[in-house]
Amino acid sequence: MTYVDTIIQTAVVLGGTLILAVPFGLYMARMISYEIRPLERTLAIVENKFYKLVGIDSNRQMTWKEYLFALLLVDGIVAAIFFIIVSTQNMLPLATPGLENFSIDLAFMQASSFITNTDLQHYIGDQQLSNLSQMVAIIFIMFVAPASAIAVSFAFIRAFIRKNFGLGNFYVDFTRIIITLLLPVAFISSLLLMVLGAPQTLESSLTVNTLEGNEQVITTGPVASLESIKDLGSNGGGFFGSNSAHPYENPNGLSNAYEIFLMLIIPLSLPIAYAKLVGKGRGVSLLIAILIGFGIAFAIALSQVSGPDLLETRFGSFGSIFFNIASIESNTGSANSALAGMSPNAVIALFLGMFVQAIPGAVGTGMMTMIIYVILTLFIVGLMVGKTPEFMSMKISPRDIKLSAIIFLVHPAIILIPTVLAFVTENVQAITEGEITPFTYTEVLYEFTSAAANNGSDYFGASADTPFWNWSTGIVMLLGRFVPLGLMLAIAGSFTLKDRKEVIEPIKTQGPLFISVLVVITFLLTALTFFPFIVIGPFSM
Amino acid sequence: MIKDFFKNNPVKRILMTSERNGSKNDNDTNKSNESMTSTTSPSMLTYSMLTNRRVLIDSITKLNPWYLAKQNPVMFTVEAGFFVVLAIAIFPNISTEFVSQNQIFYIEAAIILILTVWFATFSEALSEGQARARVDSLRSLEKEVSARKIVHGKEVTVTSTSLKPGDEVIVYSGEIIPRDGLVNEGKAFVDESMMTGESNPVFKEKGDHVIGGTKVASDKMVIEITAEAGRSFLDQMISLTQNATRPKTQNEIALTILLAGLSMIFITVIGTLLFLAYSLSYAVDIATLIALLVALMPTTIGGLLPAIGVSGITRLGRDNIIAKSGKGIEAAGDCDVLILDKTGTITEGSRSAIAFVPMQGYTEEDVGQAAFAASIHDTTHEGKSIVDLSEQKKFIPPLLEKILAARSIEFSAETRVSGIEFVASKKVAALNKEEEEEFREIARTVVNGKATDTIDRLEEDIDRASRSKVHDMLLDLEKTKESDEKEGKDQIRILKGAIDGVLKSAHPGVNVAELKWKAQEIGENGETPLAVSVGNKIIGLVVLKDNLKENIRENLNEVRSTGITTVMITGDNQLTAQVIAKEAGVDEIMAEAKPADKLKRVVEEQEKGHIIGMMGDGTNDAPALAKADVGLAMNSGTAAAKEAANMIDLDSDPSNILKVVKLGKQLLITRGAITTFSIANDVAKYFAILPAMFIVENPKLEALNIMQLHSPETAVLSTLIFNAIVIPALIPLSLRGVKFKPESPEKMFYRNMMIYGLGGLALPFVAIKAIDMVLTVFMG
Amino acid sequence: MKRIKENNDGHPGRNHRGLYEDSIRNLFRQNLSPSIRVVILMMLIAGIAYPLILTGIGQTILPFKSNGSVITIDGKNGVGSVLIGQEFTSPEFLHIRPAAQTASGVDPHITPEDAFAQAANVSKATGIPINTIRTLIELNIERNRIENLIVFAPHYVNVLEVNMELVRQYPDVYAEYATGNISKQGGNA
Repeated sequence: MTYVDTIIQTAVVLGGTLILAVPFGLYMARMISYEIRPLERTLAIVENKFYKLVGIDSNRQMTWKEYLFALLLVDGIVAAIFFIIVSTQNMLPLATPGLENFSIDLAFMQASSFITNTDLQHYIGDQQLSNLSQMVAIIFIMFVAPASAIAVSFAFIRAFIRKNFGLGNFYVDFTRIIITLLLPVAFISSLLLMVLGAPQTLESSLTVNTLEGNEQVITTGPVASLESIKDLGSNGGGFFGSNSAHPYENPNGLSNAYEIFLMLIIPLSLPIAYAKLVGKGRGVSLLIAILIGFGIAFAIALSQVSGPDLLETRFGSFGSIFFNIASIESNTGSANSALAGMSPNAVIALFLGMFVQAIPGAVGTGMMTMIIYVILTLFIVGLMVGKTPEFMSMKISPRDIKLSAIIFLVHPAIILIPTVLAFVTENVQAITEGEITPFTYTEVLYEFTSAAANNGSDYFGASADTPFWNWSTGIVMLLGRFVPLGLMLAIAGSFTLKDRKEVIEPIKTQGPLFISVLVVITFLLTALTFFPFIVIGPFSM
Repeated sequence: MIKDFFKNNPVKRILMTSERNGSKNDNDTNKSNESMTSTTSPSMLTYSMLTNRRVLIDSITKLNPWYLAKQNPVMFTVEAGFFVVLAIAIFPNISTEFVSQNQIFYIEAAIILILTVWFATFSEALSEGQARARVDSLRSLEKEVSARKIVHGKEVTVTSTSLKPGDEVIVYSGEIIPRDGLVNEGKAFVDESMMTGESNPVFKEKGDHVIGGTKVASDKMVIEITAEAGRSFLDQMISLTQNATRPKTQNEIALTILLAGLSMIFITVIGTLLFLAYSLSYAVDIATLIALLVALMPTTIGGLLPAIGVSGITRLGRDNIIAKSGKGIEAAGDCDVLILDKTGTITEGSRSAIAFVPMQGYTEEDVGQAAFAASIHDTTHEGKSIVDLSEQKKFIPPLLEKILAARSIEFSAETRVSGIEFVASKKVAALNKEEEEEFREIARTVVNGKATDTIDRLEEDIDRASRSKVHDMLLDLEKTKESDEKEGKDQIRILKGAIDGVLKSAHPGVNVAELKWKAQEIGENGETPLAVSVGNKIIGLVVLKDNLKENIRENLNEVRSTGITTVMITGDNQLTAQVIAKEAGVDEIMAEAKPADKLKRVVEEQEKGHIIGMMGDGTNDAPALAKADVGLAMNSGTAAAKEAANMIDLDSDPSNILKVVKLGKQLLITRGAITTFSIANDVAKYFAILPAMFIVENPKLEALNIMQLHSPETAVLSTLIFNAIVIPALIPLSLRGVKFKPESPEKMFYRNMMIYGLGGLALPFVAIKAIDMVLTVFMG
Repeated sequence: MKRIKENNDGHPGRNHRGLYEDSIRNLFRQNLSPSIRVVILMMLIAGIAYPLILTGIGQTILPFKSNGSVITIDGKNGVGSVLIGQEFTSPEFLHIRPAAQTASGVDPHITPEDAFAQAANVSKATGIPINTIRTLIELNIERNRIENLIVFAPHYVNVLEVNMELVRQYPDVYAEYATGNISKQGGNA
């Protein structure tokens, strides 16, 4: 690939995503503010039937606590179903002979992993799951997890629209997000991926006689339908163990580009929805800050050539870096190469994305995290103009700062403490079988960073299927998901009750100065927290 | 009687002007005040505090870990680090894995760490010392004094503490007023400098409030005690100054939480780094790790935060404003709407005559003479200014003596006119010579021989004026009166006042249209017309203009540039208000406002989310003062207003609200700036210490060793030294506050970001390198 | 949890221990039924209907790709998937890179340089002129370039496709491997 090709590819993919993010964002804005959507009548009829079946009053607004409770309950039930399916799969239909059930710890870890939108996999999908598990457990949960996060981000944005606008109703948001956003896009994308070569069959494998006359067993399944929602919903758990590196999941350069688009579209659309609902300048500035952050990570990753070992030839260094950056910065976590094939600089860039969690971060949570950065930035620099810091003309209270501070404290804590535990309890030594090098340390740090950021990419894969790693990453993922989500809902709950002033903000959360300060503070806080760990890890690899 | 008459008489002032240079009466009081006021001068305070033993002792008692754990978690962590390093310094063999340096290094590190904590506690003690100094100086006034209580009309000497509200005391010149009270009898000058800093004695008469602890400078008066013992203004002030130091404001709480959060993050980082680096077989030195932790923690802002808070209240006190809580000061910084009374805040509160406009058939001189006559008994500023203008233009009416002796018609809200009335002519005439003589006699005495000129000039003026029409009219009046007397009429009046009021007594033939048209024209210029009549004829109009306060335009411009909207409240009509608003640079006006409108406006603006600052003095201001986010009551105001407000201005200068706003902003800016500075510093500290920690085992870190420090030990020590000395270096800044430049928030944001953000990023690179070079020399 | 349990023992609605327990209980009562229902509905739609409908469409409209892009050599038996690499050991074929060096371990692609470097060996083993092999490789690169709209992927060679082309063009040389015409065909292997 020539230099020009890479530029064109970047421009087409990112430019195309941004262009499409506008209609996507505007559509989501209509979902958030209950405005008329295209095909509203039909959609409303379908949705109302749903609400009736579910047995809810769709007009009832929830408090942040109710919203969180409903979310936890739904996610809990789905996780339980997942747990049951994967631990009893060999007794269920579509099971291949000899398929084993997941152990308790693996089932716990994978249920946590998928419900938290992490999709860290301590199993090899094509070998350890039946097609029933892939569909009913995996594909289903891949709709539930992003829908939950997007629902929270809807509630979060509503908190800023106007006082007492109401945070919404979780069941309504959840239903609408799945039926009118994720399903249609995933459906069309699956068809596109099928055109590009991804299989979609209920057969779990096919056997061929190779040219040289040997028997080759090739695993197949409903790959396309899983692949699209995997990328669209920041999930990242591959049908195959090798994830998006597998030719069935990601057959060629075009599918690679399309999957990059899928991974970025919702995270980049939400700021547009935000722009539509709470101010064009604010939303666009947020988007620009996100893109600058993304650009910085991308540039760091590109500063060193990756591969060719452990990269797919059909993607090469650039295609792999582009995909992995898009995937990991958006906390999807579906690498199209082995992480070990990434250059140290690229690995640093991947870490950066998982530390910041907002460039652009996962669907829903990424934008919310960025807004938390905005609040924190406003607080620090807002004092400097001699006014009590305000966000959108609402005072930032000590409680808001406390909740935001916890969000930023939890993240390093659940990365660093388990990492130490893994070393101290010699569980690292158990699976790396060798002396501790900066590389093995990087692998461990990456595992927990990925778990904490609900990313899902990892070095270890199925080799970490031991009780320690399953329990520890499972707990980290749950904490990394639900503590921030709960706190963000609490912040939303506090902002929705606040008085808005019809006055000019002391510091506008828009414009070049604010964007640059926001980016600097975001990176500074991240760097100050994680710098030493990068220095002794990937930097020294 | 003559004496009283003199005090307010314009003619007396004519006579007095010439003696202004000669008199130095006030000097003594001024001198005695200086010693009082100097204790509150900032530079003196800081200097004396540095050598103050109490401050030193306090700063050391504050090192108590329990105290720090509760009050200042950041510094507590540093102190905990100190104990660990100290333990290693004493027992270097405690561990072989985590202790790798020589003993001296640990001793040095421990000393720097405890110094860091001490610098922080010292800054806090210092700021509290300042606050205490003010309380002490106030306390010295509160000494028990003896008072002359009036019991059944007799003076009985009692102690001030035994006085109860309702008691009457008499206070003579040179004596201290024993307690807050109301003047019941007498008029006197009172020296309030110890309370307000105002060096000129204040004139007090019946109905005025006086403050306990102040001194009567001249004459005597009878005061009715209004405050209970221990509840006087002074007591309140002391308790406010003391208490105001403790409760934290919302922003302070939020900032403390943020700093605690940052500290916990860094503790997690350093704690886990210890294990991970060990797992990667680095020789980790525990003191180096503690040094890194201390360097990363926001010690600068953590150390200075208490001092900044306390200094706000002290500094406000220096401006003679008593804040009832720190909250009010902080709200002041947030103010984005200031509701300002026109009178007293934007304008001097007194309109002055600037021109005479005659009606057709009269001259300017006619108006001047008539206005002079009508205003001769008018002791208001307006009246005086009319007389002044007439004098200045030499429009002195004839029969000055008679005019002086004429009965004055007091202004009333009903008639809205004032002036004089000639009473029974013969009697007047009889009294006339006598009084004139007496008058001239007094004038001579007062000016001590220099009077001739003035008197001559006066007489000259009177002669010169003899040809004017009003002159004739006045002379005619004399005759008319005589004739009228026979008819039983003696209502010859020279009046000035509101157009409508004057018209009431005017002849029906008066050209009302002309009058109103001229009046309107004056009004359109933002000036106020007063009609002047002699008898039933309207002579013309006096043009009164409201004087803007000195520098008000500049002050308001500053305020506006920081994004604050100013609203002027006035009873004037729309037109007049607009002109003044334009001249002064006020954003919005509320014209023809009644006192109750203030509260309405405050509520309205608050509903829109604005933070309102206002000041007031009247009882009818009290609800609005209470409702406003920042209510500044004038000390001269009523008790209700002072009760309702959250700040009291001892100088009773309404424009002081601008000072409060600035100070509030400054406090926030100082906190924000030092926080930003503190966080920005961390970057350089990483670059100093990380290579020092790992470079021996990992040569790759050479890439990060951009500062090229001498050795790992000097790198750690110089970072710690920098970290420590930044605190005392910034004490003056935190006590004084970051310089506040009136400018738009964007500009301020940009400028402070450059200074404290970028500056904070760059400075430690330079400073640590410099300290390292110095250390290199010492350590060889 | 313990506190909730205590409440269950008591009389509902007469609890004076505080609102907290009550509200959690109420939340449970209010949400349990709708949450179970919404989960079941969504499982039916997203977990079952969605993949099944797509499978139906795929099998109908795109049978070849939906079934793994299996190519056959005799119209019946699949010899492999275009997208999946298979191991070649005989010198007459181009070889894929060792699985340990790729990320998926199953990709059939190698770099053009790698392919050209193998051309001489294949030519030597088969007697096919080296230039013909090079041209075949070139054409394969070109085809992949166009499939990827030129800019979306680097140049690469699909080993299986080149080998199949060799078998198709030189049935004599590859007689022992080829038993019929190579055709793309849907259906099960």
